[in-house]
Amino acid sequence: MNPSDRHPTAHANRPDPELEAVERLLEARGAGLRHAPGLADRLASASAESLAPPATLPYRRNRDRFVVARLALAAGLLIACALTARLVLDVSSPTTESEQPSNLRFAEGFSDSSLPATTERDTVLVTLLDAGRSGRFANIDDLEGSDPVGAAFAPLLGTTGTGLDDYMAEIAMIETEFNR
Amino acid sequence: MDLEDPDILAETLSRAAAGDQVAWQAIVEAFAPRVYGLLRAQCGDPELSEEIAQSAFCTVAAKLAGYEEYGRFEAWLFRIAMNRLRDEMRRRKRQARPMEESALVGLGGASEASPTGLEPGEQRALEQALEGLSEADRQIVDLRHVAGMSFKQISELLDEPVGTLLARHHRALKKLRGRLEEGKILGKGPD
Repeated sequence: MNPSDRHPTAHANRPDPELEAVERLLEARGAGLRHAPGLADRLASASAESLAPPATLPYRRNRDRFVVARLALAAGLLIACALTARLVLDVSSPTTESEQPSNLRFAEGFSDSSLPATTERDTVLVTLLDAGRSGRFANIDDLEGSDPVGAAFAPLLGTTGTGLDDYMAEIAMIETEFNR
Repeated sequence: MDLEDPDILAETLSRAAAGDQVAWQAIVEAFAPRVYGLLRAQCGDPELSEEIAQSAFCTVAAKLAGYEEYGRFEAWLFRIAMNRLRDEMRRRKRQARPMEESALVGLGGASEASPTGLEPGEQRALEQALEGLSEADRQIVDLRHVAGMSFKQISELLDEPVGTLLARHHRALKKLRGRLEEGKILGKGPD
């Protein structure tokens, strides 16, 4: 039985016999007031739009319970992304690639085979230092205290520096050789 | 669909809350006439009654997804409707009044094929007798005989003990009977 059709006194205790006539009148009045053809269709169509859309996720109604967990998950993902990005940047950085490994190699000692020639300047310095250590520059200790450029070229040019007197001596020596 | 069965009602409400339009249609068909009848009894205005009923059902539809006390659905629905009517009446600065004459004729007139079965004289006398009740007593009578609610549901709706409601209902009916006897609508009782 539809609740709209049921007898209004269906749940009542047995009515007082003296009041049955009054109840009969009230029930008749109630039926007239409830009578409205097409009312249910109009109200259903008007209110159906207010219904929630069909649930597509099983936890939709309990979504409030997962707020903390979802925030923690989002924070974890964010931190992981940040660490990954930092690691990638560290590995691909040209500064760290050229400086850190060369510093290590100088600290540990190096050989020609293990030393990559990163720049021309590095190559010259490595050659000079290695030669000095092996004794090929006997007077290397004498060069200490002079300017570093002169010290670097002294073994090659046979001079102790790049001063004007040195060049004059070199020129004189070359002229002597040609004169012979 | 027997929505008087609490389990079936709860299952239908659950489906409607999930967006099932067919379930919602069944709920509206079951309860709309009772809500509308109660509102019409309270305000006497058919158009306003339908407007308020529609507003109440829209509210219920919107809040149904978060509502879980399906065992108290009727009390919830009627409370929303009555509160909405009270707010609207206050807004319009209009007090509840007995039914308009045209509505009385419509309810009792044979030409309207009204299902009341009451003669116009009976209808008029009954409304006048109801007008003599206090607002609270008349509300109980309307909830009981128009909305078709059980005393337990009325108790949940008005938040009053069932015993108190039974006593007030009985007293209201006796008062109505006395008025109707005075109007010669009912014969004198055996007292």
